Amino acid sequence: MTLTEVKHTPAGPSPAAASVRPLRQRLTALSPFLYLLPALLALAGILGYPVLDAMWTSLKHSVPTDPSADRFTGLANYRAIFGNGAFWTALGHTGLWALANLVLQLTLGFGLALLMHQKLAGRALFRSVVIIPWVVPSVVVAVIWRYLLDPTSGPLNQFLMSTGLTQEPVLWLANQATAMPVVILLSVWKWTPFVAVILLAGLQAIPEELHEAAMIDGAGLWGRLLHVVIPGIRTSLTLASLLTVGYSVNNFNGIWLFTQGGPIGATETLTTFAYRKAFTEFDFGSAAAVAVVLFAGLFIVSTAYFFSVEGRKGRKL
Amino acid sequence: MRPRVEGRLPGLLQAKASRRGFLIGAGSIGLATAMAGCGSGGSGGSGKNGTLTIWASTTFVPGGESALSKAADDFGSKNDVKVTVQGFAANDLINKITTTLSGGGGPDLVIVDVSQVAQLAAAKLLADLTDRVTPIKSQFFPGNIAAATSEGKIYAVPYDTSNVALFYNKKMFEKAGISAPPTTWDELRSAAKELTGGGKYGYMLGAKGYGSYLYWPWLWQNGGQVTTPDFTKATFDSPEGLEAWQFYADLYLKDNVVPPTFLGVTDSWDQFLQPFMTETVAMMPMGDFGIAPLAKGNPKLEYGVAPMPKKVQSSTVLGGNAVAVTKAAKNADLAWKFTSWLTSAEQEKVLEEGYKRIPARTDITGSDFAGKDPARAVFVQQAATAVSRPPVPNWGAIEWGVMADAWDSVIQKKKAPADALKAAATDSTAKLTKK
Repeated sequence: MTLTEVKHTPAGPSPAAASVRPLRQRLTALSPFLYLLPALLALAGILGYPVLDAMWTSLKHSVPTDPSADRFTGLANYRAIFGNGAFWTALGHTGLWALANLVLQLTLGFGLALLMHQKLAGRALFRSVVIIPWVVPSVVVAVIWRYLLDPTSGPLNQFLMSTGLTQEPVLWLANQATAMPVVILLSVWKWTPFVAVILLAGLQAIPEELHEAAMIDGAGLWGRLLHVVIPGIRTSLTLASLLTVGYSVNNFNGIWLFTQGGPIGATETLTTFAYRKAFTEFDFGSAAAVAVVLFAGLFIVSTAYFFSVEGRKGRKL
Repeated sequence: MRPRVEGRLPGLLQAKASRRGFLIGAGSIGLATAMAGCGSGGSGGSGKNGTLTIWASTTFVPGGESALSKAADDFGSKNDVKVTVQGFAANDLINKITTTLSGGGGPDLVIVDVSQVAQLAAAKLLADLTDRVTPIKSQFFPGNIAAATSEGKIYAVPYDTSNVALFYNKKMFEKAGISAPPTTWDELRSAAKELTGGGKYGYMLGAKGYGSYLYWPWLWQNGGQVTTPDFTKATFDSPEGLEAWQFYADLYLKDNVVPPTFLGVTDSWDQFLQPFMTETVAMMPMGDFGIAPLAKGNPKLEYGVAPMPKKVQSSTVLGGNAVAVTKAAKNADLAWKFTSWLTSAEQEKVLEEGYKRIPARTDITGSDFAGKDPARAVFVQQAATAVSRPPVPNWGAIEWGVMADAWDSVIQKKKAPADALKAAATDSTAKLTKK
């Protein structure tokens, strides 16, 4: 197969050529997919197999400390987790966690992106400083923040107490009331730069002429924001929100490294719940059932989101 | 934090206490991240007579060369065996062992916390060593042998032993006019009250599994038992158990002798011992594994170690590690040869010099190592009578699941102590009988 033929494909075969060499043409039309095949197979193996395996495990009594009792139990694991109040609490926390992350990261990320987009002195430095939280590994983030928030030796509490703002140190991560807000803020701190970078790419793709045209039409800052910037970065916004929801729901480190889902379940989300099922209780079947529920939920939400966004686009354009 | 049970806890000491706050939690974070092996070492001999792979926690293999990997080298070159030692974060080790061995691969030998042997045995991942260990059984402390025994069969050889004693700050005691460490519950409570005030506290507690782990001594001191002798029913909510639990919880809830920051002690013994190290707390229950971090973090600290106080009897909880041969071991004789060599009297120095840990061998009593340090002497003395926790497959789910949650609901003031304990006993019985 030659390069010219491949190049030719996107334009579509001419009717005359199709009648002369139909098989060749068909193969040519197929060739992009053939090229993709190895990658698709690898993806199916890497992504598909674990998902199917988890689904299969979720239908079994699978407790490694009790191997002789391994058996197919149908939906028993699902019935068990749906009948468990802790599951519903964790589900609620997952929703709250994802929503808070989405709203805060998108709002702050948009603001940051606008700032990063300005032609200011030291912009390169500013941009690289902003993305630091995102590039630091989550384990390191946890060590740093746990030190800062530590009740006995952490600078934050020492500051609060030395200024007399509090009499007793605040147990940020061990207090039922503060644990969830704190882990949310830490997650926002870590992930907002990522959102900002995506939105910045969107901002940079808006042609300068559009701004000029809008200004000639008399649009102010606000008008340009509403009618030029936001429509211009719609794709980036969609992408960023989808990724944020997906990452947040699956963000195990962001909670486990700080609170392990505690105190008494105050920060338990479905991922920490599944982890505890698997590695504290050694009930792999139930843990897999939670994972499958999580997977199904994300799948539905993201598909619905894509369809609604695509639909809107179709109407507008 | 997977992060668990006793040996899991001391394993967390890998975070250096000397840096005070900063590294607190670093060890636990390491173990929570489900990361792969942290350290490996040891290659030893030519491998002419076979190969052996050993998995241990980072307590023994902190990365790079360790006393254990050196010992493995030594064994390897003497026997022409290629020995590889790999270290895993303490909290992650048991998960790694379970998943890898269940999948058919894995190491020939594992060094695990004594309280996890039964779980691995129930998962049919360990070789039955009953016939090999029985002849040498009497060389080890009975509690450590009991912990390595599951349903009448011995699955591991005791390696090191640890237990919990009472650490007390001599200067703070002197200042409060208390001449000797408390020996009974009442003395402990009144001393703790005396020592509390002006930002200082009398006694230290922990949250999560640290709370449940440190409850067992109180239970036993009061004459209670964790389960029935056949391990099928939880009995720690007996009247003795309830009284012990109430006393234990009241140290914080009513007596206010515990720093409220203990609620944040969820991940490591380093967190636990920090207030004692900085002389904010005058007494704490702690294992011998606390001696080294204290020496490093505050060399000037003047403290003593006394046996735990008694009620109707004295008692403390037993921990430590044991060496087990896995079902993946192709050459069981070779694996056993290494196991018996590592746990022999000649190799006690590996534990003593390399890790400052107490070998689980009875000949340690009265040895130079035991007598050298008065603090350690208390632990050696207690080693013979320390009580092991029930060797049941679901122990982790009970101690770090049910009981940890129950304790947290008490200290977070969500449940009354008695209610929480009774509910925990019901749930634990379900775990004991679950098939």
